[in-house]
Amino acid sequence: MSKEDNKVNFDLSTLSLTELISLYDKITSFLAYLEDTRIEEGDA
Amino acid sequence: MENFLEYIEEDTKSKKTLFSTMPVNTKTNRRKFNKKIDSVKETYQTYKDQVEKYLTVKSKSFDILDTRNTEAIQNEINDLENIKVLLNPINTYFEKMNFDDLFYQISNYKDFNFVSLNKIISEFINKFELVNIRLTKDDFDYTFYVNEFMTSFLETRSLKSKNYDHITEIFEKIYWENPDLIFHIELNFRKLIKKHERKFINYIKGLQDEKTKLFNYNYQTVINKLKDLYTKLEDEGKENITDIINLSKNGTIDVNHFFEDSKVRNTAYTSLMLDSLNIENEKALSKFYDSLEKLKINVEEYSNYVKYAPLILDFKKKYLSKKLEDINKNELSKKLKELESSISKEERNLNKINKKIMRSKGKVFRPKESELKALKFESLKIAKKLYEMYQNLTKEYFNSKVYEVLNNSFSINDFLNLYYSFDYYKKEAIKESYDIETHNQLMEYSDDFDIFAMNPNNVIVCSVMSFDEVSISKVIMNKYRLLNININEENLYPENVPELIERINLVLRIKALEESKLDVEKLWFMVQVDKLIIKPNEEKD
Repeated sequence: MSKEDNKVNFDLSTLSLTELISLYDKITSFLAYLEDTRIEEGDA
Repeated sequence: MENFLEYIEEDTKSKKTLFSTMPVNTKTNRRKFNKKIDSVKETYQTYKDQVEKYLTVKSKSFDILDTRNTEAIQNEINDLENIKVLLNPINTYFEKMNFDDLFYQISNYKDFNFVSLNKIISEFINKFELVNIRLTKDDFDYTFYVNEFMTSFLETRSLKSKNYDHITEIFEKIYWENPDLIFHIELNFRKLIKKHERKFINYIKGLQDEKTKLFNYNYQTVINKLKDLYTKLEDEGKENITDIINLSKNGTIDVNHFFEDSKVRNTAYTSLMLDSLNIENEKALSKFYDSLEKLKINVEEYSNYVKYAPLILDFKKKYLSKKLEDINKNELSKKLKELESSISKEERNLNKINKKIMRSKGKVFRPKESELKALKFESLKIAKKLYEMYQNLTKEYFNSKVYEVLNNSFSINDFLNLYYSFDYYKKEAIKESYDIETHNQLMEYSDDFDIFAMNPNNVIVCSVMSFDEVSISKVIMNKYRLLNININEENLYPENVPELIERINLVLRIKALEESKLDVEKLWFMVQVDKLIIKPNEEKD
């Protein structure tokens, strides 16, 4: 387990149904953001 | 951190800040930046996979198993419908053997391709084989050309070959000399059916006896049994919560309208109540729902009635514009017999000419070519005249059948049963009354009509034919206004019926949802999971 994983409590059962969908939405949006943020490594 | 959602909200925010401050001015910095991105991405991909798994399992835990079994009832209905066709007292062996359907097809052969035409001819021959009559080339003597074509057809058929190329060639060759070939084949079959009529009658009688003895059925007992089964099927097949889940998932219905604060939901409820009801009053609410269930059935039936109104109108114009007392049934039957007898006479005449033509084949002392040509011409001329006579006979035959059942209390139900019993005329009437472009379109109308006509539990159609659309809509409106349902004439205009049904459906679906183990949040969740996770994953696979 990485340091970051340790910070997270994975008990999803505490979330309401709306929160669960919102959570999924936030994760997928962030993944899309990461994809878009990656930059070209070529010479500056 | 307790709440994973809060953690994600904060973590994504801080990560975004981090990325915005990381230097990317050198290649090394950019590599570091991307490395960090990849590492975060990996973590978030893990989150995504785990959350996805959790959501899918949770959504599935809400699923409701559809325990309805309509198949057995439907099979029983299908069996009984077949017996009903056999025992139907208003049509004859001709319709029960489905000859009317085949004649409709062959007389509209221009709507089909050559392969379909061969299939129609084969089906005619199969009907004869059912009653142990093996047709030979000698049976096809209506014209010289019919004989030539059918000889090749029977030869190919006897070889059980699916290659009809040779027949296509023969057809094309004949067609340019005699474009009426198919009409003449049709007449040949009509003549052959008449010739072997007794065998077909006995065959149907045998089947009828078998069913009546085996099951102790008569036509009325079959109808009564069908009524029960249709009621059972309606109850069992009624839209339930599993349908609502599926309709919501596939986007046919908008789950957001089920929420208590939905404007659409509230409008649907209030617009259907004449005097507003106290939603807390369970008894009143249950009565409201019951009335809506019944209204829905009536409106759906009414909407079918409106769909077939042009057919009903056409029938009224043709048969109900005259006073029944002025119709002389004996005169009609005399006319029919006279027509039959003139056809037989003309066919004997045609037969004599055809024999001269056929006998000349292969003989040394053949008639001169010009004489043969004249005979062929005469034969085609008589066949053409006969085609018109048969068309007349077909019309008069149906007229006689109509007047057999027509009386002053003739109802829409009787009308439906009449057209259901005489397929040829039903299709002709559909073609006349609607803007039909293709055969498939016609079949769709015809099949839908049959489904409507077959249902013995229709209520509105029990009214007499003299009722018009407006009177029927008023009857429905008045009945339900008495039950505190707010419905007006405008709601029942054909173009407004779908919207009315939509509103009724929404209220009834909310009721079904409330009665189930689901609630609107759970249903909404299932729809979201299906849209966001299940469907995209299925598409990937």
